[in-house]
Amino acid sequence: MNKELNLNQITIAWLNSVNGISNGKIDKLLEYFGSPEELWNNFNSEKYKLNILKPEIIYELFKIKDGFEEFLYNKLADENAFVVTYFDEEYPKKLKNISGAPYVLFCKGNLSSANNLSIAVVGSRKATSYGKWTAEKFTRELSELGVTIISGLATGIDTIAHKTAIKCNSKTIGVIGCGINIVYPKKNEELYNEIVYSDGAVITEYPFGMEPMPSNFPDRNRIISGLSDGVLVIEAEKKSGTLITAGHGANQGKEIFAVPGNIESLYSKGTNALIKDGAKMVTCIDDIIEEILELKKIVNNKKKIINYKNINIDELKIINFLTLNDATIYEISENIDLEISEILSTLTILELKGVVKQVSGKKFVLLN
Amino acid sequence: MLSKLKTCVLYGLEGYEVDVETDLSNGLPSFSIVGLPDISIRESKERVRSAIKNSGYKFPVSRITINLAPANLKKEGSQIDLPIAIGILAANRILENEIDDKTCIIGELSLDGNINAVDGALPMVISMRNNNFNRVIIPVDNKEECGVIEGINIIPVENLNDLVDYLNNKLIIDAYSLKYSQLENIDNYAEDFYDIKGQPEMKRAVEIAAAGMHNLLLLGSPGSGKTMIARRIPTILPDLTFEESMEVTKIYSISGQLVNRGLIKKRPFRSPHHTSSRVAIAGGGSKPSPGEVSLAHYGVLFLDEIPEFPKNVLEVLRQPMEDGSISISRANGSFTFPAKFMMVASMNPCPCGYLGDPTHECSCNQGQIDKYLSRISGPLLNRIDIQLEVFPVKYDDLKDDREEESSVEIKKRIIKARNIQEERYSAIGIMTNSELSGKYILKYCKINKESEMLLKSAFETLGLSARAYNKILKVARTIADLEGCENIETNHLAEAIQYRSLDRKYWR
Repeated sequence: MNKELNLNQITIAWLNSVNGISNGKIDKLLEYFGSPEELWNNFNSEKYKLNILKPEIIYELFKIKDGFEEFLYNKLADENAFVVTYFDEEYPKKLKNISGAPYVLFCKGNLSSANNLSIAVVGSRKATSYGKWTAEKFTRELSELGVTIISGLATGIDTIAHKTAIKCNSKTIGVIGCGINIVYPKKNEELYNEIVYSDGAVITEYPFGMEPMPSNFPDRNRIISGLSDGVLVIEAEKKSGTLITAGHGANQGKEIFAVPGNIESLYSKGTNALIKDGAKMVTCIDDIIEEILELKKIVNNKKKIINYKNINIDELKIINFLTLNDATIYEISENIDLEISEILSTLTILELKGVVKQVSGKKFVLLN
Repeated sequence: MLSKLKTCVLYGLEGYEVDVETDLSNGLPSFSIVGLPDISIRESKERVRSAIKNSGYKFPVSRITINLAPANLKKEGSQIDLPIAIGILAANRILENEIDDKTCIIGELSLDGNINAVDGALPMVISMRNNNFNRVIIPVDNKEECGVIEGINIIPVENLNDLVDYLNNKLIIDAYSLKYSQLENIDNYAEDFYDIKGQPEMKRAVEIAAAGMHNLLLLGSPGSGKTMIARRIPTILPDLTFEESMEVTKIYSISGQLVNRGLIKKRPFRSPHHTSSRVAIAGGGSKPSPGEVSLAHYGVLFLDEIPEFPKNVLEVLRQPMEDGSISISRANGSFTFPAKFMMVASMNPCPCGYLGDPTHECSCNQGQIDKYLSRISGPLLNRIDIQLEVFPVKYDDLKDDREEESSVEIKKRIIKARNIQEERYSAIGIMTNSELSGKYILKYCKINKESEMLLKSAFETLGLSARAYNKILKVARTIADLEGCENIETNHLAEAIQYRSLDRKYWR
């Protein structure tokens, strides 16, 4: 990733690397200076009077400004990582639309999948066997539709979501709550690498060397929901980070899905509460598909591909006849010039292709 | 004055030779029969006495003792009348020659000296032939059924006088023989497939079932033609071969059901009512006689309204369906009768009969339907390869005077498929695809990769139960045979899947 760094990236990463400069402060600074470039070039002691930043922070900024470009470049090269800012083209489009979008993202892997249709699969760190099973099932089914799976690289549900997505050859993005050079939790190091190798991405808004502070995670969650088109909550306790992600998602206007669970289970109290508050209850993959237009399109297209691939002339004859009317085998045999044995075998194959269905009265109807 | 001659008694389907020893001695006139005779033989005293008298011979006034040897075998049947009468006449020196011990006499007497036909003549004659007898004297009415047996002289006699004259060489009776091929060919069934309008899939399913001898279950509302088509199945089955015909005639012979006393050439069609008892179906009695399953040997056993049959009656079908024979044990001994039949069953989908019918409302609740269907046990269902749901024909189709295919044409195709099967299985001693089991299914029902995928996805999407797997393969094998294909192709398999519709719909 030895890409030339542009001034935007240098400036934002520089601001970001000093503790105590929030997104809001960067907003104000950029408003004052006009652009990151101006800021970098015209940042001098005069701006002490601005009251935007505390004096010690400004001091800190001055201290590291010289040589920062080289410092950043080397760090990125060491980690084989890259940096993307709000002003770059590579910046995930969906993320731009949320309030409090991070100005900078440190990434490893391939960020392009972030612009795909993606669903966040989140849940508690201490997953039950039910939670593991549902996470595996839904992730697999989503992956088979080509959806990018986004999660938080934590233990429990997150780990299962990432692993399943990789196993199903789907892209997955892990959003972490510490510096890009830090792996947390340690036991996920292998998974961390697998995500990168599988053409997915690991991203964070925190500067190099940032420890996984508990306060980082709630903020990290807004990126998880922001990157996705919908948030699927597998299991969550009553008060948990997972519910914070769901809350962020709801505020960002994303579709929230929750898997119902045992009302006595500690780990389903949160999901059940979400459902009570209006999240979409998910008991099968179709519940998700019908809420997301793009997903619906994918499914329909996929069906069409199966349906109309390898349709032979006999099958076409029957399909054409069934478009006029539902019919019994007898009616089909009366109107189509085929042997009864051919009709029967063709109907089975059409049934398996999901083109026709046998309904009560042994009538065959065309689906769609 | 002692005479000795041979006759025969039946034990199951086997005839055993019995010596009839007659002794006339001085003393008070009496007539006794010893050697475990049953009641019909003890009654024969009276018939023998009158018949001898009414034929113009003198009945000896002396102490008559008849011994039936071996003494430990229970004897039964009216065919011993004639040997007893001849024995008395021989002992009384009315017969001029000794009767050699390679002659067997069977026949029932009437009071005027005429000889009546007996049950079981065919198996007796066959057994005697196998015991190296060279002559058998039988009632004239039994000659048609026994005439085709080669290797033994069959002397049909009408009455006692004729027989005495024959034995005294005053009358010549030619040995009767008949060529199997001379027997009139009976393609003159009253029914024909021609009568069935529409219902192409039902006809197709029946054709496949007949070609592979697959058991068949037809399920449908009243008026869909289930019974009608079942009655016509024998018309498309291949003719009985000589051996089969003999075996079937034997069974009918011992149970006294030979209608015109000739060899049976039609495939049997048995349709026991659902009130039939277990013994009626399986066979039995103190001296076991064949039941409906054996009478349907090489033919069709049709169980109309199968859920109405008591459960214990249906369960006795399991052994014969598996083994092709039924063993019955009674105090008198254990007997095995052949019972290789094609079972055709019909039933309604629910107690009221209209579940799924396009024109009628079903009035049953789910509980009733479940209870009704549960009368067919899994193990029984397991033995039914083809299950088909059928629906009534529309009025317009009944009126239609379009040409339907006749039984003769269908039969031709079936014979072709049967020949292929016979050739293929000649080494393993079975005749049809339905008899294939475990390892032979693997050997003879190989399918290609594509078909395997199809089957797999059929199991997943259509929710077929596991028991359907082998059935589908066997039926697909038959479909391939009907087409004359050496390998099972995907379209054969796809069609076979259609015949498991009940499995997926009703019995999950």
